[in-house]
Amino acid sequence: MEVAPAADSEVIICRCERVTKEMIEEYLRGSGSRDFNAIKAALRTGMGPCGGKTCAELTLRLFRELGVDPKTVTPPVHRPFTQEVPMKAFLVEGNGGSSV
Amino acid sequence: MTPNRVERHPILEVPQHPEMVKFSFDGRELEARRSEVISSALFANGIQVFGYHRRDGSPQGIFCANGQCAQCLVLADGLPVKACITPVRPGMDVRPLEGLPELLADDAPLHLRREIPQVETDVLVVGGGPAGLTAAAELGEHGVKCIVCDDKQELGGKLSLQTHNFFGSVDDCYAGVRGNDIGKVLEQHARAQRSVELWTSSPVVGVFQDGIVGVDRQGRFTVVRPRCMLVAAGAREKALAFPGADLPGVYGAGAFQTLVNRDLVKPSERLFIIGGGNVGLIVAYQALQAGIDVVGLAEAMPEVGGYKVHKDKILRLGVPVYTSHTVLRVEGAGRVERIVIARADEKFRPVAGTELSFEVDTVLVAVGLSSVNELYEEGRRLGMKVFSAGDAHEIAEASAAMFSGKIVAREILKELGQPAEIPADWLTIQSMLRSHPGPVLGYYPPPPDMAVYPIIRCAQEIPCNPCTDVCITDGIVIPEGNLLGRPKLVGDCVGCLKCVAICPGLAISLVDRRHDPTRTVARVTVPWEMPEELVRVGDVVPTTGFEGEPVGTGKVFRILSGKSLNRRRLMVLEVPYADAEKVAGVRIRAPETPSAPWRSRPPPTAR
Repeated sequence: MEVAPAADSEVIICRCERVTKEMIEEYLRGSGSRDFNAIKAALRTGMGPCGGKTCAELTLRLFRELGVDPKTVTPPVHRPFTQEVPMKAFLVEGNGGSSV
Repeated sequence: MTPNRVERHPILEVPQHPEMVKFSFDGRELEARRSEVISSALFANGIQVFGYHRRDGSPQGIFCANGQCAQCLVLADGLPVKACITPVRPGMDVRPLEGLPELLADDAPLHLRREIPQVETDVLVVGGGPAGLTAAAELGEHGVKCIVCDDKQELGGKLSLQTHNFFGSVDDCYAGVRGNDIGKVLEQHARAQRSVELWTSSPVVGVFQDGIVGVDRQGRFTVVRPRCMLVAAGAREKALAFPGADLPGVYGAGAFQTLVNRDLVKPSERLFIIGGGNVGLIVAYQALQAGIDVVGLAEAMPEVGGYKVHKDKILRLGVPVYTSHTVLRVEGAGRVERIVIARADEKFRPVAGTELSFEVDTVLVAVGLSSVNELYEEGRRLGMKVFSAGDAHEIAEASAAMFSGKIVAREILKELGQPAEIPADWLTIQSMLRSHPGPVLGYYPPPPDMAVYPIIRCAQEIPCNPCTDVCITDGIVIPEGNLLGRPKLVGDCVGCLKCVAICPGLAISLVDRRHDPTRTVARVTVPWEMPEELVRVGDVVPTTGFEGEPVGTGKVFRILSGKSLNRRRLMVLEVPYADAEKVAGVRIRAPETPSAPWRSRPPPTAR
């Protein structure tokens, strides 16, 4: 006998934006989408400060669990910058003080 | 001193009077070691919840401690930063991130720099770890202009977290040397090259379609125009999705290594590990070295994925390994209090009635790594000349990463139009170094009728040969004739103990039957890297076989230490004559019976 599966509403996939497994599954079932970017737009998965570095793999696994071949999934678009860069890095020396 | 620091360590050097600086968290004045990162300073002060999420108020702590996940965001002097990559500055005002940070009052217009500094180079190396540093040294030897960018304050990448002796080949990748020592050697090699520049605290943040690369060079945006780019950015830890995976106290095994082995913070008293690859197995051992109890390790597959020797060394110490077990959930009010695992069937589904619950304060996730290859992919898409090496190319051991850096450097030389050869045997060594652990074939027993002899319990094909190199009689050989083969004692043994001291797998013990003519006791010498205070000379200790099976007891006759032993100590045990070949280790923790299935809350209902 199997253990009853954990409630998907308790399982966080995207830590930055607190998106649960249940939310992504519902969205994928409802929309039939095969595009990672659509999930980003709809739920903000992968749109937080880490830039999808933690949840991208887990989300691809969800596609697989729903019977979708990961090869048919449009991957998320990565744009510069790959990580946060403080505005200060672009400013004239001494401008903006330490508060930028 | 706080209780959350590692104050003694069998391998690592602990500074006795580190320079401390004052900072504050949420208005409370605290102390940090100079230039340590905020997350480590907070952990050292017993603070593991850094803030509450703006969406649902859930407590936030660390997950990766590697600048990858952003779970550890805090406000430092008013700005949101990742606590794990931001050093504490004296007087820094650190605050938890609750809700959204307020906009700064200062809204005066900013003046952008008109000129962004531009640097030209032959090769831009992204990442100063084992692959990047090796490649840079190789390129530098050929006079190639090279810039190595690393996002951390120190070079060496994850080598700085590796306190164990490396496997691999003595000639090609420093086998038998501890990883953190290798990192320093590689840095010196790269630094010795005049054409190589090393930029620390300088993350590469983007590649653009005109072939330039953006670098946040110590807080100043700089663009580099390289002829070639080598992405050697390593790997990030994979996450696992289960209820409670986001609780503070659940974090990556690499994050744990960063806290403990790099920053000498003691983040836990009792922990549990998910994942039986080399990382999970090694981390269990390293936790025990730091005086942290390891309650167990669960692996979903029927056998661990890491080296058998790594599994055996934790079994000997008394850490149970639960194969074919999966994590059901982690529970706790605001932070980890317990983990519940269950047996997994052949389709990895948990089996009802097999739940086991463990009271722990920390759960480490060690379920594999994925390549940090965004810049490589993007560079390729934009038509740049881009290469990758090390874990950024393919996940493997650091020894393989070093060698891949060396090979890719030669490929880059060719691309730059320099005459360069890649020796055929390099490719052979490379393929061996990155091979997965082979089948367990059993070990070669020692020859009969010797009075003093090693038992080399090296039973699995793994790329490693230091024992053959150190034997002073050249008595240890690998009959298969290659790095993957298993070593065998074929010649004399004088009992010099060098093989016992160097074997990275802790798989060699020395039996010495020369001391008791009555044949009542024999001496057995085993490698010993646990905290000094656990076992003293004269103690009677429980002995185990190689795979942790109980044997009996032994009396600690002597504990050898010294420079030539590479910080490893050797424990000489007096054991009953008949036990001499069985004894391979000493148990330090008693096996516990995990609690019956936890029934504090009803199991979730199937929907």
